[in-house]
Amino acid sequence: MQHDEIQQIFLLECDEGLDLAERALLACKDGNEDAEAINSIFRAVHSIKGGAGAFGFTPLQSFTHKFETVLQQVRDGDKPLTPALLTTLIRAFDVLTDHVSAIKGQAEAPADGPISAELEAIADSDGEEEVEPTRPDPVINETPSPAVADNAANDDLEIDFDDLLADLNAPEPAAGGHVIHLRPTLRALDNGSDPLLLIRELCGLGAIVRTVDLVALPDLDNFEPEGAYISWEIDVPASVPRTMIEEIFDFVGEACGLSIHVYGEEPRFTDFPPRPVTPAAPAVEQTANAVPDKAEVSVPAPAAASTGKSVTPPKTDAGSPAPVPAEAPAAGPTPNAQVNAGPIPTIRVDLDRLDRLVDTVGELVITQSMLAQRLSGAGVAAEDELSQLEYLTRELQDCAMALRAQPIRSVFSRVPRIVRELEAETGKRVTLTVEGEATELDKTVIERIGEPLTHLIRNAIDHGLEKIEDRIAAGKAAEGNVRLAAEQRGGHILISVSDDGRGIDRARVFQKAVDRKIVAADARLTDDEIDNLIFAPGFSTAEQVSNISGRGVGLDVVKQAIQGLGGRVSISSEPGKGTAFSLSLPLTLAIADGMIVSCGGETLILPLNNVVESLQAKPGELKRLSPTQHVINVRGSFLPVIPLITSLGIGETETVSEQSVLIVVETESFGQIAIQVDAIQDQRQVVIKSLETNFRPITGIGGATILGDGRIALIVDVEALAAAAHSPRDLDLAA
Amino acid sequence: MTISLPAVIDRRAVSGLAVEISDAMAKGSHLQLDGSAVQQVGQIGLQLLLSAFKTATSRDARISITQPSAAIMNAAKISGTLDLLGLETAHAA
Repeated sequence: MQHDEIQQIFLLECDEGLDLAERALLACKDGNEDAEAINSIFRAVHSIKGGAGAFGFTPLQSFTHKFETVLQQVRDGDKPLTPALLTTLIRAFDVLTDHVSAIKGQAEAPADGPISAELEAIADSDGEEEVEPTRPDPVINETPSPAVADNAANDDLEIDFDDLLADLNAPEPAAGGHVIHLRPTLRALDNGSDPLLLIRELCGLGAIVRTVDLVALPDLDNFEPEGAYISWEIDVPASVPRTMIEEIFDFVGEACGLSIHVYGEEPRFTDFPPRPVTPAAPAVEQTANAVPDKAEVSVPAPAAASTGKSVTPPKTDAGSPAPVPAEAPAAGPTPNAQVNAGPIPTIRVDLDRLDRLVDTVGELVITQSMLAQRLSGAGVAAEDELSQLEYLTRELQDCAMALRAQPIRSVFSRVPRIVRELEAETGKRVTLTVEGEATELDKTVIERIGEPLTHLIRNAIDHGLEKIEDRIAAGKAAEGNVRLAAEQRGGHILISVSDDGRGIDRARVFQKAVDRKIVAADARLTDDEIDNLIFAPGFSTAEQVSNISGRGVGLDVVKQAIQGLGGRVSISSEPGKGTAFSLSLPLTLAIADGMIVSCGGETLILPLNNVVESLQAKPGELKRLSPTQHVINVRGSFLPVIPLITSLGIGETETVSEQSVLIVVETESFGQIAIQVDAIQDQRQVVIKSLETNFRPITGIGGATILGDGRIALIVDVEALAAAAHSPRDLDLAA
Repeated sequence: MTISLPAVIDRRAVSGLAVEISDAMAKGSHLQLDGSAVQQVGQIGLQLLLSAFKTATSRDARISITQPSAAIMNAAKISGTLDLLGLETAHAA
């Protein structure tokens, strides 16, 4: 495994750790504080610290160290978790999240000075009383770690190592202490890896280097910058749990041979691979009585060196002296393999691989459909087999799609922080209720739903909820309520963001829309239509653009984002009682239910989630507005009729008549419209192929699919079609 | 002769430095590596310095690191190589 891959795993585990920590913090905030909650926060922060050290993310490492120190004191019962302390921990968590975002390149490193100082003050607040540690935490006097750990961040020479190491006179590790043999493979420095960072981290736990093995180090004439030549034997105090040591090596992958064993026991030499060495290279051994910086040099016996054995580590297996290329995969188990000996409950798979699987399954679905049609056409009676094949194909397809599904928790988990920040900025008090976090969505949808959802939450708190005094005056509780929920409904996921605020001021919204020439002053709009005006581009009811939700983008951006995912957004509001936004999203972007229609000799697909009904006009229901514009009266509502053949440029002008087949579709921007087609063929699930990827984008076409007979059918983008044609708004204005 | 070590002794710097130090050493004078500007040194840089000292020993040449920066001292201290790099005195001071 390459360094980048391992680092990617670390970043993923950071997210998981942050998620767990946040949930535990919120549980504490809700009064459900228990030892396990504190422990989970501590473990998450500690793991992040370990990985940060291993990858050289020193600002993150430094901050997590301070955070961890306070958490340990709370965990050990040295400090009670007061509301004030909890608030600080939550703030520290937010900064930690920002640090993680920074190492991902998603944000600048946060200015953590104030919160760091606060954490340090809290850590020191027990006065001069010395805390007996359960492990040699860096802040404890008896270990050198604080300076070393901080040094990892700033390499500050002002740190006096002699003072820090003065108490480490014990020449041998205490009983139960661990001895680590760290032998980087020859290619351990590839991809920017640096085993020295691991040693730095170990030193932060009070470890000392016992021996330095330079057997493999070449002279300058043979020096290869890419090679890793130094190995170490490191003593770790007994007070450091093995798990803590293992966490440090969690991300080294195959870059280093590693052996961790209790002092006095024979090391497991199979834990690290033999390596080629340069003969006559010196080995350095720190005598047991020496402080770490007083190493003695000893020259290995030529015979030992020539066999490729290190002199400094304890006895090696005499039966396997032959050098083996260090980077050989069979050289030994990886450190991870050693530290995670138990069963692996999950595996991580590259998204590319999953996508390839999904694509392949999609092709299989198409092929299965083609086969069925071909056999049917040839009169081959294979109904049972075809039925079984179809069933299995669908099962496989469901399984493949499920692999890409993720719980929406990862998106919802960002919301508590947003709420906290908005409470601080607005002075409002908010109770957030989150439901349906386990609801699963396609990964792509998950990744793209975050921004619009954040905007809606900000909008709900900034514009929806009243100020505390206004709520009290209105007879409401001072604390506003915001509810965020997700649930699956059929083939869609419904996400709702609702508040119990003031509701939409429709008179104000309408006036704004008139002022901005979004609607005519004399337009007659229903309450729903007025509510939907807030999605119009550039619409904003804020007198002044606030720093919270009015960030230069309006709810139209939310709407576009949702539509881009093939979803819909709707709004309902009741004055004085609140507003609710509902987002309807497809479970997946790869498969859709479609209505197959024919038009001008072409076969096209209308997304079924847009289709309301199909009909033929009864006498008198069709009205002609102009030579090319018709409307149809559908139970009292006049809907524009859009001939598909001309809209997509498939053929010449189509005559709209009472014999025309009309399909009423729902659009977000223009309400319902009636699309005229020649005939309806079928209704089935289709595998969506991107036109942009495989051809080029075409206005009015959202993608393509392959039909059972092998023909390609274009999928109509109903929204774009409606936008390109006459819109209801134009009709309203014309009226 | 003095060679100023760069601020970052990384892989790119090490290739040139290895040749430069080796050539300078061949000239026979006492080679001084000025470490005052070094801000970052990891295992790659540490290995280069140790290799230089090893080479000097084999060639019976003289080499030392002058004005070692905090980064050099820290790396040497943590890795247990202070004495190998002749930095005990600097550390004690």
